[in-house]
Amino acid sequence: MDNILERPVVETVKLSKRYGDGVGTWALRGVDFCARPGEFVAVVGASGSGKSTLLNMIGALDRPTSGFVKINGQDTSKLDDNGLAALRGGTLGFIFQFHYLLNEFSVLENALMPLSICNGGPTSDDVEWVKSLLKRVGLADRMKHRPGQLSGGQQQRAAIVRALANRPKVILADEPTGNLDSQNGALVFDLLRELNSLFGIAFLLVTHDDRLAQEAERIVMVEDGRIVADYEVARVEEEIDDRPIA
Amino acid sequence: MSKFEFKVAWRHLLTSHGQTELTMGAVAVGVLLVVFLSSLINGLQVGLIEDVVGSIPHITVEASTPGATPLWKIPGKGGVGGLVVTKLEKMSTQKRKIRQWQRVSDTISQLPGVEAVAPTVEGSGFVSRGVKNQGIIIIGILPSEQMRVMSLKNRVLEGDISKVDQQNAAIGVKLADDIGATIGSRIRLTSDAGITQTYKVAAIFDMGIDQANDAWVYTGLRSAQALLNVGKDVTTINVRSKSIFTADKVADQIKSFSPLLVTSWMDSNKAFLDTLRSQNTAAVIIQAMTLLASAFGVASVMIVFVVQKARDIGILKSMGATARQIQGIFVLEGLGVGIGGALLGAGIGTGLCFLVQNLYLPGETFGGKPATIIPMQWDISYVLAASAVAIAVGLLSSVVPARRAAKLDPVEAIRRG
Ligand SMILES: Nc1ncnc2c1ncn2[C@@H]1O[C@H](COP(=O)(O)OP(=O)(O)OP(=O)(O)O)[C@@H](O)[C@H]1O
Ligand SMILES: [Mg+2]
Repeated sequence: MDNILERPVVETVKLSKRYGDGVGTWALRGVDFCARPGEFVAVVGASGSGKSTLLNMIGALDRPTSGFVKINGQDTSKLDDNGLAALRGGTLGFIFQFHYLLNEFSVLENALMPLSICNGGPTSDDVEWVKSLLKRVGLADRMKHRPGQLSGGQQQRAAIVRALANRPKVILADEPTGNLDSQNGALVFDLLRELNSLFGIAFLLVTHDDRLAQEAERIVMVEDGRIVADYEVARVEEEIDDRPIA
Repeated sequence: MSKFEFKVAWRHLLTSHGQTELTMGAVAVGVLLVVFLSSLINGLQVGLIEDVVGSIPHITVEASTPGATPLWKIPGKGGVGGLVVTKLEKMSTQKRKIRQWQRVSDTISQLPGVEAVAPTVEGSGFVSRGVKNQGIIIIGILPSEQMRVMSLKNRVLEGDISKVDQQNAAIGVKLADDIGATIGSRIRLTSDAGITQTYKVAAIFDMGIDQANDAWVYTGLRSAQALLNVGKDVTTINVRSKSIFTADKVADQIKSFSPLLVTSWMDSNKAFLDTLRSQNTAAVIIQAMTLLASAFGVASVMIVFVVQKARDIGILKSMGATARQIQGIFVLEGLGVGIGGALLGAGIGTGLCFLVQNLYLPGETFGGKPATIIPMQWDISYVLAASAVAIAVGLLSSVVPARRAAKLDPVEAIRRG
């Protein structure tokens, strides 16, 4: 509750995105959205509603057609390509539906990659920190393996550690459990939730799994490029089956 | 450029499932061809030049003989009054002395492009052995200096040319045949001045041209000066330039301060030189084509790399990699392929050159040494030049694909890949 007074770590103002020239497709139509530091937000909505587009805009992977995004109070439309790269490397972390680990590198090297890119190489402290994360997600004995030698769930956990390596303020996760079976999905989700509460990183998580969405603090529903619902999840132990969404 | 780019480029090259090796092979073949072709052409040309001009100095400096010149320009009149013509011809072959030749020689030897200088005195006469007489050209030399100006040593078939002095002479192989002389034979030389002197044959040479093998007789400088009755004068200063191909430039330098008649081997072998030059041009074109083919090879594989790695590029960008870093990775890969190919090609090319160089024709000799089948002349400069070009080619042909990689839109790249 004390977070409410804090400056939002993510803020979008009239964020719109049109794909293609002329009329094109409007993937986002004036989205105003805020996320506080450490908040865990589930983004839900039908396929094609604009969830990925929203995350990509917030993640500075793409530039909006109009409106703007502020990360940590910084208007990203004012940044040049190098500024955006620095923002992605320093403040943001990405987790995708697929692990997208680089096959030429070991699990540990993959997890260290953001530090190699941005800070001219990880320090020994960094290495220790990433190793402790890998241990925490159950990959202690898989660090020297190649990604191809891991199971799907292990790969996704390695990708999660990679997203955390740079100690980001915000993690953008686009269907991180979408490619996993329900058991592994739940495991990864719990892990994200745990890391969220441990490190106070804000999570924006797109999911099609309503059950998982219920575990978030807040649910944002996207429909046809607009936010149509945005509410805190009531957390009552006994009423866990009461789903707010119809 | 940080460790990150090197590491990604290196790992990528190592795990490309044969593509790296193939491209390096293409570059290597280019470098190999250039090294081999250059060595071969150089070997052939040096051999040719040796054959054609090895028996004359790079540059000769003589007193001009204006009186003789008009005679050469009268065509077809040789038959008229044979005696007169003969006499005039004799006058023309009787070269004029160089004034203060010592000073001229010192000045020339200090020019930057000059390697060695040697004076000679020349005049005509005849040789007699038993009943046989034959017209000759007497050439007085300082053996040790003359040998620095011309490659005399490997022209000697028998004996030792460095012994040439007051009592010892060197004669051409054909002359030796004609008068039946061998090493140690005594011969009598008589100059046009009417002076006679006896010599021992110390060496028999083969200059590769009939005129020389037929008529040239080397004696010591002093001895020849006495024989020709010219006191301490010389008729020619022979010059060796540092490179055979800069002889004309050195000749021009000498001309700039001396009114003497300066002739470089290039002046007297224009047609031959033109042949060599067009041969060189052809070789350069072939080599350029080869390297161009390598360039296309590198470029096409780099483009494939970029397409294959599109998703990785997107992921790296999502982790904060800048366009510059991405470009750096692919440029480094091109550079790596260039360096690897250059090393490989230079190594194999050099090995091949030495292998071929040491193929001898069984039982046959050339100039006293075993005759090689293919005269190769390998030079480190070919390796360096070919490698430098190959590396530059690798670098340049990766720039365009690297730019493309750098410009990839991360969202697109991740989606497509
Ligand atoms: N690169 C693109 N070019 C053209 N149209 C696009 C592009 N990316 C997305 N769109 C369109 O924008 C709209 C929103 O797409 P988006 O990927 O954000 O949906 P989503 O909510 O993530 O869907 P899903 O749940 O299936 O992943 C869709 O209509 C889609 O067709
Ligand atoms: Mg999506």
